[in-house]
Amino acid sequence: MLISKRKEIKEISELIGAEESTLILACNGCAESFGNSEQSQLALLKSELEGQGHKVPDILTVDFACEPSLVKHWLEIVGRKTDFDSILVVSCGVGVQTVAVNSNKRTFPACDTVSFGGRIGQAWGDPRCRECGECLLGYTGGLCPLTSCSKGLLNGPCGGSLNGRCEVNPETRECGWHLIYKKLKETGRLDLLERAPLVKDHSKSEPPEALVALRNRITSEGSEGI
Amino acid sequence: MSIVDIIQKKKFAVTVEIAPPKGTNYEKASNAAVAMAEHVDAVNITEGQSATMRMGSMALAHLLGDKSVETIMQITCRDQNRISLQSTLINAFTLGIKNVLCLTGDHVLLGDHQEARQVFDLDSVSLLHALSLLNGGSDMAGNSLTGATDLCAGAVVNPSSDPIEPQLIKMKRKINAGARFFQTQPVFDIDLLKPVLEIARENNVYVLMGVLFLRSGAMARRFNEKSGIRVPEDVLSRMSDSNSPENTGIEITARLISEAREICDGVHLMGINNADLLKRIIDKAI
Repeated sequence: MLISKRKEIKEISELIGAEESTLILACNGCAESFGNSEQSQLALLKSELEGQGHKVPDILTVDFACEPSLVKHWLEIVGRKTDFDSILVVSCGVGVQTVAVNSNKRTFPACDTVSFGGRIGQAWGDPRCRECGECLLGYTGGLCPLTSCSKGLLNGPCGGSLNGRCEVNPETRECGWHLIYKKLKETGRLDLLERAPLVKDHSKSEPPEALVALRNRITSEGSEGI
Repeated sequence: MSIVDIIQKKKFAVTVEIAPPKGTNYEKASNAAVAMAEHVDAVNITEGQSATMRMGSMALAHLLGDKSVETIMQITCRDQNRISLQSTLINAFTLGIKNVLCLTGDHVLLGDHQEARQVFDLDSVSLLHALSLLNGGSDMAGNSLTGATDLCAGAVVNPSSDPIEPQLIKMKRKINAGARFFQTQPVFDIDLLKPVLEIARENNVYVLMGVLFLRSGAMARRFNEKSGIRVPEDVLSRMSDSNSPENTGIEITARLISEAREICDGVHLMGINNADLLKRIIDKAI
């Protein structure tokens, strides 16, 4: 069972910025298959964003935001009829990253992913999500520094990046921070790197109440595949 | 005296770095540091450099402090979480250490304990932030200290990085987090230092240019291929074609020191492990 927590509207609003038109892209994959999808929450999110002065031209629901071909297909269709500057992704961290690398729009997470419950949608390989419970993708161009940087650094590249490759294994690994920098530069959001130091709050990963909920669900429903 | 006080007083400071021993016999490293200290303003003590297990920097820095050597203790985020890092900074100050160079630390896969778990609970920027909090009398959790630290915080920037912009953005973050001086990664083309100096001047922090003593053409090529440091073609060929690589290395190093004297606040010398070699380089640079 996917366990995630929607971010406070204040954090989302600050990330998006005041002047933007934002498409909500919601993943219906794991949540629906696990039976905890709540479509009414999307309308609430839209109305909260509008209450903060943001324009939300549309809500797009895709079956799996972690499936690149689906994401590209639906973004192309929506893009034909709707103008938007950024995308707010309601999904796990893998979905946010898949949208970020398959679009040229600024991409922000709406949720903090706590646990996949043992299954990760349709994703294979990269991008990865560490289920850290405190999603930072909104500050890093939609690319996770915890999983894309070999040291998991949160505040910029180390000195060992060489021609955009990671010094640990340059033949096979790109420098995650080089990718983050490129994405933020392309989307005009390098300002996000000039903020106060990011420090991870590890207490947010796997909070006891979420684990209790997961355990209760398994015990009461005897769910398979969890 | 802090390294910033030294820079302000002398206008041009020279530092050199040495590594603690791999084991408990510290006399050789200590003697080398004491001898080299006669020719420089402060000695950097590296911490688990290249992710190799060694004596910690604090122990050697403390021993050298007893011998009146000014030290810059290096500290990395690879092996300790935020509780331990803050504790280490308090320990260092308590033992008389004044200067701390805050680094992220090399990846464990580059070292001699590749199976180790690396920490990186903090990184260089957040470590500087933590140090500033301790200097202000509280810890990262907001608790008050019974006695604040008064450490002079330093950081590193790599002027050879390509593209340079991410390094410069991070340099600004380090300054905002409390860095007062920078020791750069090795530079062979002094023009690369200009954007770094621009930011330093704007923010009233000091820059000691990193100068690496090259021992051979092979060493120069290795750095070019395997690290984020750029060695220009003319330096590579001079080293490779030289009949006396040591003398050529001394000439190149001395020239870089002289050039640095014109534009920045000092030099940080690397790859030099004895006072005789250090003296020959410095004599030639004057």
